[in-house]
Amino acid sequence: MSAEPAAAASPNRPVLSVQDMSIQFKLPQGWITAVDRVSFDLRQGEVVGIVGESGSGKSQILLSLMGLLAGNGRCSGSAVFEGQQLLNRPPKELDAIRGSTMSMIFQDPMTSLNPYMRVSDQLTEVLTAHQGKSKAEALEVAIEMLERVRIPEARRRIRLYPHEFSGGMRQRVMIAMALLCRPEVLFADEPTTALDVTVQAQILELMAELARDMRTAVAIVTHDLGVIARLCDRVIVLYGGRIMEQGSLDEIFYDPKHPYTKGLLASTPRLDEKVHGELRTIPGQPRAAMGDFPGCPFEPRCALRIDRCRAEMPALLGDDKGRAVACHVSGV
Amino acid sequence: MSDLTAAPNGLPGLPAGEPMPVGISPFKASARRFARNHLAVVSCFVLAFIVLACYFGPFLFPFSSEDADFENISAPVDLFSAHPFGTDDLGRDLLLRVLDGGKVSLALGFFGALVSVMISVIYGATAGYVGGWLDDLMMRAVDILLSLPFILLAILIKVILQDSGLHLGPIPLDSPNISLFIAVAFTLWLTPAVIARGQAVSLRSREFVEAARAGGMNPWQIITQHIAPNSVNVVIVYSSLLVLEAIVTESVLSYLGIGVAPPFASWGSLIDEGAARIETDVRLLLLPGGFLAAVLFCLNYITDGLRDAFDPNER
Amino acid sequence: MWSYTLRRTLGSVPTLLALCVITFFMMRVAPGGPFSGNRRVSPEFVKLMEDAYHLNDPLWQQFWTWFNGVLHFDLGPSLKLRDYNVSELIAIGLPTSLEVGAWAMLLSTLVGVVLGIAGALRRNGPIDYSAGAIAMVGVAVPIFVIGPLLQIVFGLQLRWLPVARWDDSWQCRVLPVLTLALPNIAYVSRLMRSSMIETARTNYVRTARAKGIGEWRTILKHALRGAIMPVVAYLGPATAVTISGSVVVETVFSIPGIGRFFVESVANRDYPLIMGVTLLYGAIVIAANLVTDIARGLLDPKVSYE
Repeated sequence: MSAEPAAAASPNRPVLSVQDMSIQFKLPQGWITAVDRVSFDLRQGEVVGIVGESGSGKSQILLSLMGLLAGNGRCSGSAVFEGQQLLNRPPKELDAIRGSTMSMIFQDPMTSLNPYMRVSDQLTEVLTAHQGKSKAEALEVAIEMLERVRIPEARRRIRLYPHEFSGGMRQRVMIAMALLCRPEVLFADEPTTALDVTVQAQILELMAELARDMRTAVAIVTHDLGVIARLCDRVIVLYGGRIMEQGSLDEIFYDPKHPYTKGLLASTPRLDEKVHGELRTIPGQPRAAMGDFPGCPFEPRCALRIDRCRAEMPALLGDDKGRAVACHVSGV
Repeated sequence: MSDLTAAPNGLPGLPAGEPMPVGISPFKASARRFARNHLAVVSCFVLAFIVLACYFGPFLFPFSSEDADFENISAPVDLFSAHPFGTDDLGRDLLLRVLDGGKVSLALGFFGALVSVMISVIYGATAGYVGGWLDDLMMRAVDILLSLPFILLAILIKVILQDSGLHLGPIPLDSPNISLFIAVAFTLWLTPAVIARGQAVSLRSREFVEAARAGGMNPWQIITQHIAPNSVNVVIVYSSLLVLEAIVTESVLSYLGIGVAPPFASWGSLIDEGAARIETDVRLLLLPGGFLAAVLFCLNYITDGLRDAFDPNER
Repeated sequence: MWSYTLRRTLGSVPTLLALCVITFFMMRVAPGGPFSGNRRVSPEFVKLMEDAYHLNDPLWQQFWTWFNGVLHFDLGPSLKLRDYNVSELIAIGLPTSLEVGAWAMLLSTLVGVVLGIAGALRRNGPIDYSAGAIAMVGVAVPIFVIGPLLQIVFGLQLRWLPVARWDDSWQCRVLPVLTLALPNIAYVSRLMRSSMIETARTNYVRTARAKGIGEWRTILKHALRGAIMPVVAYLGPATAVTISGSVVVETVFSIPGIGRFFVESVANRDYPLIMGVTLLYGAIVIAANLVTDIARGLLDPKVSYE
């Protein structure tokens, strides 16, 4: 696309810049904050992992950026992509971007493809809608893309319906669909959670390889640290809808600062470590309503808490290389 | 458009292990859900009022529904006279006739639904519990009968029974009104039988049934004492719908002139009379038609309310 | 797909046979034929007439004679209208009934689907509320009340349309078709609305939105395809509802169709005609269910795959 020469000039140019993004949902008991003032950049070609436990609001960040927030949700803040504001933009204007320069892979490949349409139609409509290609041209590009995601006999299989594919193959189709227009940014929402463990690694490798080839920036949301370790350049750790810590992969994995990050790493079983007895866990449960307390969301479960944690949310402080921690007790 | 997409499955911000409010039985919780459905609750009151009016209202009149008042033939609507909704061309009181007709329609509807529940539960429980080829055969028969238009079925049963000359002890099954009642009940039992069978299949392997079998009960005892009573609850949610269908079936047959026979009249036969004379007096149609429609509206809202309250998944 | 269609077609043959057997024996177990109960006729005459119509043969023989005839579209003579046989009467009434029924089916499906989609897309908007009100009236008020009400309003008060006349003009058809269509409009619109709302929440519609192909394309190409399936599956039952309704509507509007013949044949105890009509109705419903199944197989790749 036209962005190519500019990208070559400044390799670390952020393609997507999210500032103070908050997401709330209306429930019978009132508005509940799911994501609270989250800011991050996504630079060209890099893979950023957003990690956090279920219910920490991480998927909602990606859905809001794609304009797919549920009807009972609202978001605020800003997210600038190619000089355009994404948040709260009318769907009609977003449609010029969605599927072409910005696309998304969803969690459940079994239900995310339309069961009533041939895979060929589902793939080609992206190209006919965004690039004005004829059906025949689009079909050739689609077959080529299916071959790139290593679906054997792509020319024959493209005529099939989704239910004639296995789960792993369907996720390959989803990846092909998302990459058809060579997007600048790819969002992936738990892309391997619903798959067999044996195919998870293949799918991840494939995503990483294709993103590298196309110089696509990837934001991947997961609760699986294994996925992060395998794929990501940078990691954002989310808890209770807030960023607890961020940094490069090595910094987060070998030098975690935040007590939650430490707990998260400690509770992940490792193959090179003998486990004695029970798996380690972080005691306690995530707090019910977020954003309604002045303090740190992790405070009730934190071993290092001090009185101040209850009263005041620590600011996310860090250096200019992107390393930052939000904690009163153990900063950078 | 955005209101089409609803809440995501896993709502963020909800606690993972928040304890559910305790101390409310499922039935009480359902009853509360029903009580919050204003339309359904109002419908219950309206229906109760109409039922009371039909059964006790006629006692307030000093004459009967067939008495002709020759002083007041085709009297107009005058709410403060002896004939609040006027009289027909024979001087019969219109309101009283409709209330009397309501007695027949409501009784047939209620008891028709009751009998069809009993038939369907026994039939469904037998098929579901016994299983095998008998189950296949019984359900295949239900499928065939279900594929027939219901009016056809009701008319066939009614006519055959009326011509049959059969008697069940002292009850003449071939009398026009008893055969009508049986036709109504036998037209309606099919759908609830399918539901009851499903419940029976899931009950078949439950511990208390195993225990009964081990204790030496024969299949018929198990069906009548364990399977059927425990299948009733799944059918009962549909009871108001059955009453509604029973009333509709009866009134259609009566409208077609194959229903209630004199001296009885029902809303259906009154509508039949009224529809033939819309050019002279529309009250003859509007009054019974209005009562019938009101009852059916109420039963519809009650059915919706019951289904939402007791069966939140089936929407 | 072809093997699926063939399988379904063959599967409906036993149902059709069972229908024949049930109808025949149901009618014949009822004692008291058409000539009994009439005291002015001598017993000898009754015997003579019953012999003439083979009413005293063994039951299985009667069935075989009758069934043989059915296979040749010969449903026997009518007992009351002696100049006609049942097939001729059906041939007279069927075109009229089919015309009204087909229009009503078409109208109810189209209007129901459009109302349902409109309601689902603009939930709690004016269209949604009006569609809900129409649906409630259509579900709750029986057509033998609606029909006469329409006659009063459009025939007697406004004088736009004839009350109960049947000739070749289109005006005669408006009220019967509308009356007959209303219950199914109500049901189809409710079905379509809830199905559309449910489908719009599915993951694959979200995927379609994420592709940026536009809202209308998302609705028409992705959501509608899945959402219409329950409506397609309802077409079979809708035929049965329409047949039930046509019996009433043809009486309300004095239309010379099969439904009227049926009601009259029941009043006259004209057994061959009752049986013939029952068989015809059953066959139409079985055929409609078959067409529904095949349509579902065509629309849903998973159905024919299994």
